[in-house]
Amino acid sequence: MLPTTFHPQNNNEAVILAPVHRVTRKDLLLWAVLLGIMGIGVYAYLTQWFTGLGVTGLNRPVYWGFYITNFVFFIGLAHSGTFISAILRLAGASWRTPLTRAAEAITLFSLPFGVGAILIDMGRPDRVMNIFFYGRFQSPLLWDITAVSLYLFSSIVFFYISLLPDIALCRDRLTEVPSWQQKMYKILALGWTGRGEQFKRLERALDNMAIFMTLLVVTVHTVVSWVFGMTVQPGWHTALIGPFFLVGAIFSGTSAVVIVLAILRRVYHMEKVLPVSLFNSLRKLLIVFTVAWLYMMIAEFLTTTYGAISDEMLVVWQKFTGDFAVLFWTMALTVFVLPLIIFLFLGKDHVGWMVVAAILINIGMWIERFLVIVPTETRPRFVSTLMEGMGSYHPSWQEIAITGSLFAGLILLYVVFTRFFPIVPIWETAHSGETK
Amino acid sequence: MAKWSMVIDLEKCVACQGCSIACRFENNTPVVGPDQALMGRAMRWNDVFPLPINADEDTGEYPNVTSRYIPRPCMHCENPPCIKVCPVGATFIDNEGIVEQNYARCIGCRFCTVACPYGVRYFNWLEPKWEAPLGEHLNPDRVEGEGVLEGPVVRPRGIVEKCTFCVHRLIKARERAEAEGRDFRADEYVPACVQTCTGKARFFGDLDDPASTVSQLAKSTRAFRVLEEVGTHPKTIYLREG
Amino acid sequence: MDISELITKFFTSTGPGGGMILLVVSLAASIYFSMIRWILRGGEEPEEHPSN
Repeated sequence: MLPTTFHPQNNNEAVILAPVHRVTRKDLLLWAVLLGIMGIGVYAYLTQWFTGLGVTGLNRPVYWGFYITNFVFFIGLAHSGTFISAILRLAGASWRTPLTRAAEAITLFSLPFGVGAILIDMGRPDRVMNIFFYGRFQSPLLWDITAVSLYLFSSIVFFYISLLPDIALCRDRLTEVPSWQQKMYKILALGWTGRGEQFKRLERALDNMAIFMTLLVVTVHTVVSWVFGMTVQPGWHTALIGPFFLVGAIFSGTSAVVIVLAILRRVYHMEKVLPVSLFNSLRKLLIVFTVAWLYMMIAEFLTTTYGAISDEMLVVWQKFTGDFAVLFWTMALTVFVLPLIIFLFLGKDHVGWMVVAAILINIGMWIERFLVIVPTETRPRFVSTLMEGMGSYHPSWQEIAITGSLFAGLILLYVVFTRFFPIVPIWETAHSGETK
Repeated sequence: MAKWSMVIDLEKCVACQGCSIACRFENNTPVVGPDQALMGRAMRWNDVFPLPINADEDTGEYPNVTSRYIPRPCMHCENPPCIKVCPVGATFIDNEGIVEQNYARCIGCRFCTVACPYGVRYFNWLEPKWEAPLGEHLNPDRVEGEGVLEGPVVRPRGIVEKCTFCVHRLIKARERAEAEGRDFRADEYVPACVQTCTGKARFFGDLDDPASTVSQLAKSTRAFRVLEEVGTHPKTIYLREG
Repeated sequence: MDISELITKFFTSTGPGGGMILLVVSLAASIYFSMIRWILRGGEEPEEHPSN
């Protein structure tokens, strides 16, 4: 169409485009395994669909369990991309460029599973449209839907426009891929020609959107926390819950970026494109977040235990020494103690250790979400928990399988994406080459 | 407009749970069976349980034990936390102060169940079922209007239900008065639990009428409301023992 | 009317409802649509100094 399309010169273009050239047998095997795990989740959901939420371990008073934990966790994970990409763009941190897309992709691919988790949790998914027909905007659930759908939508646009020049590049360079793939690039490139003015406008649009996206990051996760904060239940009803959720979200999201980058680096041989210095920069960020998280933890528990309102203390003791003590102290270890030791003494120049810490943090953050939600429910103010079995929660296999399938789905979308689009922005990383 | 209210005298309550049974038969609450009950899924719109409510709390060493019982219908708060959070307006407070649940609209998100500080809301985890003779004697009453379904009608699975102060009895009583061409009187309507109470511990009436029994009892020095500090302003009022 | 009554009124009224979600999302959609068009149109005018 326009043979004169301009593409910025990037010395690493071949390395970055290498994974896009063909789908290997190994890929297909991995996709099949992930689809298989999702299949188990689908089966589990079908049993729930036909029998009712009774197949879960949920009960009275623990009405919310794994599903809502997943909802909060996946929305939190989704903050990685925007945080890294938008906030670092605003800060003018140029080291971010190679990892922006990999980070944003986490946002994009975990958000649908956060939304999915909410739908899975509904007792009557067939009535979901009632939210539009009879929606009450005073309910925090509607704030959630508005914020999350706007966030998802904006993330798609933010991601897509920064992908445009690279789609055009794929369209022009990848002539040996199947014709449907070529056609896909051609449509998605929207006739991008790489004129100087286009690039200028693209940068301006991205800069401006970055401000908006940063606001959305704060809004979205605060609103997610308000689902709990707006109730009057002990442990939930605190103004701190918004900032606490936000810090946790950015924390787990940034850790997820470390994991993803390390895997990409290893599997797609991108050692030169994703240098160790990237991990060192992320390490510094993560040290800040680890300490910030501790600050939040102290602020919350000191306030609660010092004031020692009896209703609140029942929940606190559930976490410190009660039914959730093992989980709570595991969480403290995996979110704070071990990662901090690793970051301070072992992580520098060691991608392997960084990944270990990042995985620990994400396991810990999932547990943390669980511990915000469930212990409060097990110590209600006015439901008798004296009867054996009351005030406890044991997830069923369906809940575990569905949780697993949500993670499998996230990974599947991610690996498929990396096989069809360059996961490192070619045009953004080209600038560094130009200045030589 | 009336402001319906219930007063429960704990001095007179013998914890016989007759109210729970009357409620169950009046409102067609499903029987879940022992395995589900052990999971905490028993439906008791009107529960009767010992105080304090959980094992962590100190009840003293024998023989110096403190243990009391409290019957618990819905508190029918004037500022109900459940209504604030409902995303679809399936739970609502009518202009006579009764907090009701529209079974035709509820989406089963269980936000109201976690928001209620009194735990009076019940979720239908499974399809409701009754043992053979029970299922043949369900209360045929129901309340049905434009997009509204409530009262004792058999609830579908996946939705939330709760005590409604037997609102269908109010509607029926009004209709009867109208059919007989006379004014409706507040004493023509009582919920099933009040009607059945063995110890005559329950009173029901209009809190807006200063002459009504509930208004008089609400002024008693023994009167208290549960978790009043939460700001819910319950209309179920208790009279403490002694 | 005291303030708590006002707050209660607000939370128990019908409110703007689900239309609000659609409004916000469709507003964003139109902004993003025109933004993408604006980006793509960049340099469309006949340039005086055709670069490269």
